[in-house]
Amino acid sequence: MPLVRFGRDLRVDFCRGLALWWIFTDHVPGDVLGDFSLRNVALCDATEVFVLLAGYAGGIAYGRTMDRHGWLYAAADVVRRAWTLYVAHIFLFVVFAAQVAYSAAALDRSEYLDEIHLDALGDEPYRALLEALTLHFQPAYLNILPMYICLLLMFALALPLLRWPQVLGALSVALYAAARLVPIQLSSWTGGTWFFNPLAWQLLFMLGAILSYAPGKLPLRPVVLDALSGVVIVFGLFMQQVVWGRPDFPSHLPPWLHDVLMYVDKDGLHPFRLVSILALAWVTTRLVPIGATWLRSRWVAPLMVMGQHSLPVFCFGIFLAFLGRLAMEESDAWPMQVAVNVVGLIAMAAVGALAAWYREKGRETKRVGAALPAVQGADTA
Amino acid sequence: MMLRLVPFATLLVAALVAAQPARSQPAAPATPPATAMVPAPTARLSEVPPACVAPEDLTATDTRLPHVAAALKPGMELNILAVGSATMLGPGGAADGSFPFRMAAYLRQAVPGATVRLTVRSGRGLTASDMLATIGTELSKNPFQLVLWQTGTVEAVRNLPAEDFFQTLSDGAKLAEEHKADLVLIDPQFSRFLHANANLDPYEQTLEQTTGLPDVILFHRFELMRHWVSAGQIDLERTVRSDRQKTADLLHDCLGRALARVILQGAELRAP
Repeated sequence: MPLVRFGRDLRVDFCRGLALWWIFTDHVPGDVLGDFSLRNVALCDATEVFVLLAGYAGGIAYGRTMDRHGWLYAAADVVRRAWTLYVAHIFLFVVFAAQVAYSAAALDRSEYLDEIHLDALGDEPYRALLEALTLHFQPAYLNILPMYICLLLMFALALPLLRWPQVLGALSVALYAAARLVPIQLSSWTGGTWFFNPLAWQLLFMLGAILSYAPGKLPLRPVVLDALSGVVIVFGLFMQQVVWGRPDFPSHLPPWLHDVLMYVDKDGLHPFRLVSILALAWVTTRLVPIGATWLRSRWVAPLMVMGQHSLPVFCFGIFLAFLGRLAMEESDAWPMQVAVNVVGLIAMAAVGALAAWYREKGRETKRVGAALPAVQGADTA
Repeated sequence: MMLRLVPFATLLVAALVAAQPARSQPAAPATPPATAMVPAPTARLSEVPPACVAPEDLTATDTRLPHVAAALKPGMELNILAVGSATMLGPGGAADGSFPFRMAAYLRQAVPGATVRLTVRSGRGLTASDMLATIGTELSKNPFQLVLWQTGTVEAVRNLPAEDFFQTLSDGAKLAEEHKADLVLIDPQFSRFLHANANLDPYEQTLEQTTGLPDVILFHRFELMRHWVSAGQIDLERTVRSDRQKTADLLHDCLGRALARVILQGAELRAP
């Protein structure tokens, strides 16, 4: 039984798998692979990859459902998915809080709680639980899923507009601009704002959905887009390696340029980050044809199963990342670096494979069940 | 299936629509205002232990600290107020092993015959605006010539607005000026986690920006600690539990030395 599902755009699954792997390495402080992930060479990071491709996959899956069963049913399906994410988020919150708090006590490291922002849970546990349930309290690592939930709820409303992509695009850009300029932000219990502002990030998600549901004609010649993307990618490299990479460089900049280059926020999806991910997406589609044979090779199968079952892999990855951190604090010499990264990747791929196996088995059972003649009176429940 | 969605939808609507009150003041255990007269240490400030060596420019300053210069003299008294979060307390939560205490001791050593008094008011999870209130109360009760203000970490962890942070720091600088005290800001400590996962930059930039105000110095704790980590000199995050107390003591001693150097430079005094 093949665990990787073919017959779909495998580039999407591969890149999602890659993003999940980067989320793991970036979340283990001191992991050497964290110095080589996307965030070191581009202005965007795994979060942008994840959100763009979530929109892309959503456009295909729910767009098709809408075409077959109408908007209301498709919207209900999106909300059901948001509910699944919500339950997963709350479960992860409980597991992660227990994991960090236990480790902090056992290893005498109260700074874990302060850094991850679980100190508020210790100060006011009952209130913190309520605030976590309403997504008002988001410790570190636990801020991606709340954004994703909001994106899906917005998407449920926006679904019919997929048929008028220009209208959806214009509304989405307007909301993005308002979220950044007014600014409109969601508040957090501990006084700040959400780490990711869903009202800004929705633009990336909607663009992904439009690209998959209504690809349309290119406004520019591909070569022009190639050139523009190349410029954006080189600019990103320059920013990471020179402007931000050298502490003394910014002081040589004129004040206006300093402000433009130094204040690139992640919470509101700064335009630099948006342009960066779009350029990378374009270049990827140009360099990797949809039928590329290496996408079907067994070497990339681990990333494929991870990308095809992103929710359990993401949640498990967060748990593993903290274990990885504890291990690295014992030693961060190369044997431990290898061990943490190999074990981490294998464990995440195993979770993906398990989810894939369960799903395929379920489909097989359904097919077999459908093929059998119905037994009278057996299904009265 | 739809029924299951009802509580979720209700929660979400409640969360997104209702303008919730911000979290109440954290019950942070601020230390009692213990003011201690600081004795001179036995180790000499001029004899820098190998672990504490750092590039000169990390402890260089052109800013003058006139109030410290006037008070740190033989027969006179320098009163220091130290406000911050957890790391202002020393290893094991005691104030007398902390780097402000070490710093005060080295100042005392640099000027024989001077009296140095240190008041530490810090607690876990305090924001800059929490601390601003403390600074206001303390300054109105007692005269201080120097305020040490360590802040920024809690803001970064909670993603608080950087503009408000700048306003709070400016208000603090004004307050210090009105009460004839110099202000030394201290930035977050280096940690791999904060470096990689929290968005420290806006807060570091804000702290840097505040040094444009008169009589304000920023002590670059983050860069100093990062230097010690990358040079393999002091790395508390990678220290086994049995050695942690010793390494924490060393770290606080090195930070105290570096801070004392900055302040002596600001007061145009030479390190002994």
